[in-house]
Amino acid sequence: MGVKRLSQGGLVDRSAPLNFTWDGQRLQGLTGDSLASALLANEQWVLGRSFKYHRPRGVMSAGVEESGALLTVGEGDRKDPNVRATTQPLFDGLVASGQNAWPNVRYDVGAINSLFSPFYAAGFYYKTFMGLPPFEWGKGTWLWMQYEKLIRKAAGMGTLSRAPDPDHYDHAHLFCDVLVVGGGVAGLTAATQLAAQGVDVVLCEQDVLLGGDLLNQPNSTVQIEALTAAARDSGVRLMANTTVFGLYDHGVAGALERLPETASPAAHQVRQIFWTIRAQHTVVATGALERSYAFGNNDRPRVLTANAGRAYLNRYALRLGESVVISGNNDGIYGTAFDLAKAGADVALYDVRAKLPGQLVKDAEDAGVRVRSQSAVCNVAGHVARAVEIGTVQGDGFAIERKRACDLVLASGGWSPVIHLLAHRGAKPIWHADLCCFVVESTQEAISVCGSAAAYWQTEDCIRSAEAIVPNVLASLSGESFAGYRVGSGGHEAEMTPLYEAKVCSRKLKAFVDPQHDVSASDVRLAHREGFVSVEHLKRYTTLGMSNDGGKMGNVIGLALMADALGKDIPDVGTTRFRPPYTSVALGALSARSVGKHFRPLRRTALHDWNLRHGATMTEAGLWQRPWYFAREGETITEAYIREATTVRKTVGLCDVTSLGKIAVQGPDAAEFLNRIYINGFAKLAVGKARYGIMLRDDGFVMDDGTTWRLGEEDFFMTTTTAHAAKVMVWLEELLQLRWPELKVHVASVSDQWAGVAVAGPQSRAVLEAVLAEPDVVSDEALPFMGVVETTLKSGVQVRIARISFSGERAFEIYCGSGYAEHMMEGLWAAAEPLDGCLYGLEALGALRIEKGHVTGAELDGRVTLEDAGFAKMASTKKPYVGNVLRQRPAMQREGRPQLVGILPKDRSGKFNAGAILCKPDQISGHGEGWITAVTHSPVMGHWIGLGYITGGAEAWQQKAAVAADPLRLGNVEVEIVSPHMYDPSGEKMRG
Amino acid sequence: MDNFVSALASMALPFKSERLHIREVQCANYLISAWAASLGEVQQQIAVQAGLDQPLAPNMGAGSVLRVEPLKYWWLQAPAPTLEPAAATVLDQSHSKAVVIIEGEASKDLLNRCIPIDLRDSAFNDGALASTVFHHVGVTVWRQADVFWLFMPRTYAQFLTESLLEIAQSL
Repeated sequence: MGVKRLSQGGLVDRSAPLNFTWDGQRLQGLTGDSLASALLANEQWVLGRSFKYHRPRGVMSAGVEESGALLTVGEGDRKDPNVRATTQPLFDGLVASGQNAWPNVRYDVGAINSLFSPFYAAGFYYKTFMGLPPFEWGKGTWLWMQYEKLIRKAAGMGTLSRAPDPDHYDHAHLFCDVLVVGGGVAGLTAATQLAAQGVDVVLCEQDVLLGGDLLNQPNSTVQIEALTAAARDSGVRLMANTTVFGLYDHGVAGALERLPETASPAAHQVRQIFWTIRAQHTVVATGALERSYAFGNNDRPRVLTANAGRAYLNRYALRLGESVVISGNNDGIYGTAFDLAKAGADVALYDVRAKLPGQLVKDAEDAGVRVRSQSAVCNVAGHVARAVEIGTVQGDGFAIERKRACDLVLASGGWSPVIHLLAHRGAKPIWHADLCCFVVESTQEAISVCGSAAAYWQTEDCIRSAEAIVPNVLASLSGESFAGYRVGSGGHEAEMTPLYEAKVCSRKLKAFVDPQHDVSASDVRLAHREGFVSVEHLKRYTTLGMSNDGGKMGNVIGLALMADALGKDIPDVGTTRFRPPYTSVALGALSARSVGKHFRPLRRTALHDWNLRHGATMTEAGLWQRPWYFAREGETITEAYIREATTVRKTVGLCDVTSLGKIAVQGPDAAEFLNRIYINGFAKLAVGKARYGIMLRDDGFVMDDGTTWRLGEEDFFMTTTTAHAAKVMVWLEELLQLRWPELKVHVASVSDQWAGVAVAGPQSRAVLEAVLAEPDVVSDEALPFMGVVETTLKSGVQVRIARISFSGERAFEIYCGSGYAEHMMEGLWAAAEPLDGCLYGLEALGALRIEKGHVTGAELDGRVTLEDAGFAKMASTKKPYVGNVLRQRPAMQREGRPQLVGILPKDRSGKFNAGAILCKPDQISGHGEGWITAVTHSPVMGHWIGLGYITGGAEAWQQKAAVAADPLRLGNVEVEIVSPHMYDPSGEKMRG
Repeated sequence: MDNFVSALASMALPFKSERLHIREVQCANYLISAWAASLGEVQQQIAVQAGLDQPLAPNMGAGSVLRVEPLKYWWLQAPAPTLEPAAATVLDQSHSKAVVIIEGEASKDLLNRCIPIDLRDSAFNDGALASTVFHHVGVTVWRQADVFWLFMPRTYAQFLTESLLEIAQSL
C-alpha cells in the first residue's frame, strides 16, 4: 500500500527538490508541488482534526474547495492559520503544522469527543448549557459565558499569531476593457479572441498555473502552452495566482494576488496585492467544482473527490493508491479510472446509474478497470480508509452487498458551476435538474459566462462557448445591448442520476455533508424535525456552509437532503446565494499600507521638525501633530505647561499655530459673502483690520469661530479652528455653488501655504521688532488691537501679521510662506530667548485660553446657541445671515438653557475633571444641570479652574453651591460657578 | 530661496532604481480663478502668455500651466501672468504643494498602488491631469510625455512620500 511518485510526467521538476517541515518532521517535495501534494508524496495522510469531533482529516480535493487539509503555515509573527494545503505552493523552507489538536494531529486527545458524537448534534451546546437547570431554569446566560470559553477552546480551527504582521501588502488599482476570470480553456480562448480584436484584456487565474482542468488531464502540456502563448501574443495581460474574490457595482472586481513566497522575505518584498480592478465588461470563466456525496465515514483520510485523484496523478505525478475504489454518478469519473489504471493501480468503479456510457465503460475496462452499475460506496472502514462497503441500489436507498479492501476512495456526486461572482451581483441561481447543479441564466449587467461555469463539461464545448460570447462582449463594449449567454447541457454521454447520499436501510452511518464544520446528514434531518426547514434556518441551525469554504462542497448536498426530508423538489426548498469573498482574503492585504504609523494620514506643520528639535513633546490634534509642551530637563508635563503659561503672562512665548484653518476669500462680492455667513457685520471692515466672527449652521447652532483679516478691498484671509477647517471650507464651497452662484467670490484653502506663529506676552512687540525689516509697522499706533499688516522680515521674506490674542496678553499672529517657517521661527526664537521667553505648546495654550474664557471646539460642540456661549450681543440685528431665522426657535431662546461659565473648586486645593457633570448638591443624579468642557491648573490663580455649561449661567448660580459629579474618577467636588472671563475681564492687557 | 526648507527635506530623494526615478521639483504655483463670464478672455490670455497653440481643455496641462478645474488654472512659474483684475483672481499657492516627478518604466505601477486613476495611454495620455486621492489625501497628478508630476499638499507631503518610497523600493 502506498503513494507512488511516478518517474515520468506531471508538472513537477524532479531536478529541483524543496525542503519543508511538517509538524517538526523535515520532508522533501518537488518544485511544482502544492503543500498537499508534497505531504501526500511523503505518505502524510492525517493532516488535521475536525472542528467539533476531532476526527482525523486529510486531503479531500486538489483545489480551493478543500475541506480537510487546513493547516497552519509559518511560525512566530508569520503564522498563517487555516491555509488550504491544496492551494499553497510549496517553497523551500516552508514550515507547516497541524491545528485544532493536542499533542498533534495524529494522536489527538480531543478525539475522545468522537466517542460522544451522538450527543453532539446540531445545537447541542446551546440546548444543554444555556439556562442550565437547576441553576438557571430556562433563563440567564451567566453559566453559558463560562462554558463558552471551554467550548471555544475545544472547537475550532487554527489560531492567529498575536504579533503584528511583519509582511508588506499593497492595494493597487487596475483598469481594463474586459476582465476574464479564470485561466482554463474557456477563459484563455475568450481572452485571446477579444484581445485579437484590439480589446484590452486582463485575465486572472487563482492557480499558480494557467490551464484550468487541462492541468489535471494527461499529456496536456502542449495544449496549455499553445493556449497561453496565443493569449500572451495577442496582448492579454495574464495574472496567475490571482483570485478574483468578489464582483461589485459598475464592473468593479476585488482580486488578491499572491506573490511568490520564500522562507525569509527580502526587506521590501510584498507578500500579497489587493487589486481593485475596474473593467467595462467581465467574463466569468470560473469553471466548476466537483462535489462528493454523503456516505458513511466519507470524511476519512484517503477519501477524495474523483477528479482530485486525477489531478494528483497527472499534475503532480502522484499515484495516491494501489487499490482504488471510485464511486459516482457521472461520466467524469471514467477519465480518473482510466488514468489510474494506466498508471498501474487496481481500480474498481461503482456507477450508481443503470444506464452507463458505453464507450467510456469499454475504454475503462480495456485499461483494466472493473465497472459495476447501480452500486456505490456506502461506508468506509478504518481510521484512515482501508476498506469500503459497497451497496447496490434498492428502492431509494442502498443495500450493502460486499466489503472491499482498498487504499484510496474517490467519490463524485456531480459538478457545481462556480457561479459565486454572478451571485455577488444578485443573479439568481436556477436549478438545472439534468445536471444536478445550479446555473445562472442571465444577468442585468455587463457580464458574460462561458465554459464549465455555464455548465459545459467537455473541453471542445468550453472552447465553443467561449467563442460564442465574443460578439456579445464586443457589442457590450460599444454600448449595444447584448444577447446574454447560453447555458450548456453538460455534454456527457450518459445522463446523470442524482446522488446526494448513500442511505443504507437500518444502518446509522456518520455521513458528512459539510466536513469542515462537522455537519452530517443526520444534522440536516434533525434540523427538519425541529422545524428549521428554510434554507436560511438550516444554515444557521446546523452551521452548514458557514466554514471557510463557504459551502462550496456541502451546500447542494444539504439542500438536497432537506428537499428529500420535506418531500419537495430542490428548487422548491430554495437556494443559497454567495457573498464575497470567494476564498478568504487576509486582513493584512485589505489594510495594505495603512498600518502602524501609516494607519491614518499624519499632517505635519512646516515647523514640525523645528519643534521636535527644540524639545517638543507632540500630541494629536485631528490628523495634525502639534507641540503639547516643551519640557526642560526633569520637568513633568504639569511643571512644563505652568512654566510656559506663566512665561507668556510675564514676558513672551512662541507657539506654532499653523494648524489653524486658513481660507482665502477673494472677489468683488467677498465682503458681502462674509457678511452673510458671519453673525456680525463684515461689509464695512476696513482694509488692514481683522475681526472676530462667529458662523452658524442653517439650524442656528454655532458652527465655528475665527478671525478674518481684510488684506484688500476684494481680498480676505479667514482663519478657522483647527478642528473645523475642512468643514468650513466645504460649507463655503457649498454656499457659493448651490445657494449663491450669483456672488462673484472664489474661496481657496491656504492652510498649507501659510505657516503661523503666535507671539504672545508683554514682550511680544519687542520680539517682532527684532525680526522685521521695518519695526515701526508693529508699534501700538501703527498696529492697534485687531490691526493687520503685510510686511517683510529682515531677510526679505514676506509676512503678514495681525494683532490678535487668544491668550489675553498683548499678542500677534505672524504668518509666512510655509517654506520659510523655520527661518522665521529661528529669528523669532533668537529674539525671544534673551527676553526670558519660551516656546509653548497646546497644554499652556489651553491654560491661557481657559483663564481668559475663550472657546474652542470643546465648547462649540454643535449643541450650543449664540446665547449659550455668550455671543448673542455680537449678532447683527440689521442684516440677515445664515442661521438667523432658525436660531429664534423657542427651544433655542428659552430661559434656563445651559450657558458658558467659569468653574472654580470651592476648596481651592481641590481638583475636577473635564467631562464631570454639574449638579445641585442635593440632586446628584441623571444629566444634572450642566457639564465641564475643559479644565486646567491656572498659573495665574494658583488653583484648578474650568469652563463648562450650566443651566441659567453664572447669574443663576451666584451664592449657590454646585457639585462636579465624577463618580468613576475623582468623585464629587463642590464647585463655585463664576463668569467665564476669569482673567483680565476688561481686556486691558491684550489691548495694551 | 536661501532660507527655504522643503517639506520633503528629510526624505531620501532623489530615489533611483532600475525601473524608477523619483525626484523633487520646486516650482511656483499661482492659482488663477476665472469668472464664468470672463473665462473665454482668461483662456485666451493664458494661452498667449504660456505660448500655447490653443486654450487648454479642463483636466489638461501644457508647458507650465494646468487647467485643474473648468474655471481654475495653476501657473507653475514666477511671475504670475498679468490678467485684468476683473477677469480673474490670482492667489500665490507656491508654498502649498510639494511636487515630485516620477519617471521610469514602473512609474504607472507605482502610481496605481497609490491612486485610483486609469493611467493607460488610452485614458491618460500626454498632458492629462487628474485630481484624485492618495491615502485619503487629495492630490493632483499630471502626465507630461512619459513623466508624471505628483502634487501633494505640503502638510501631508512627507507622510505620502514615505509611502511612495516604500512602495518604490518593492518595484
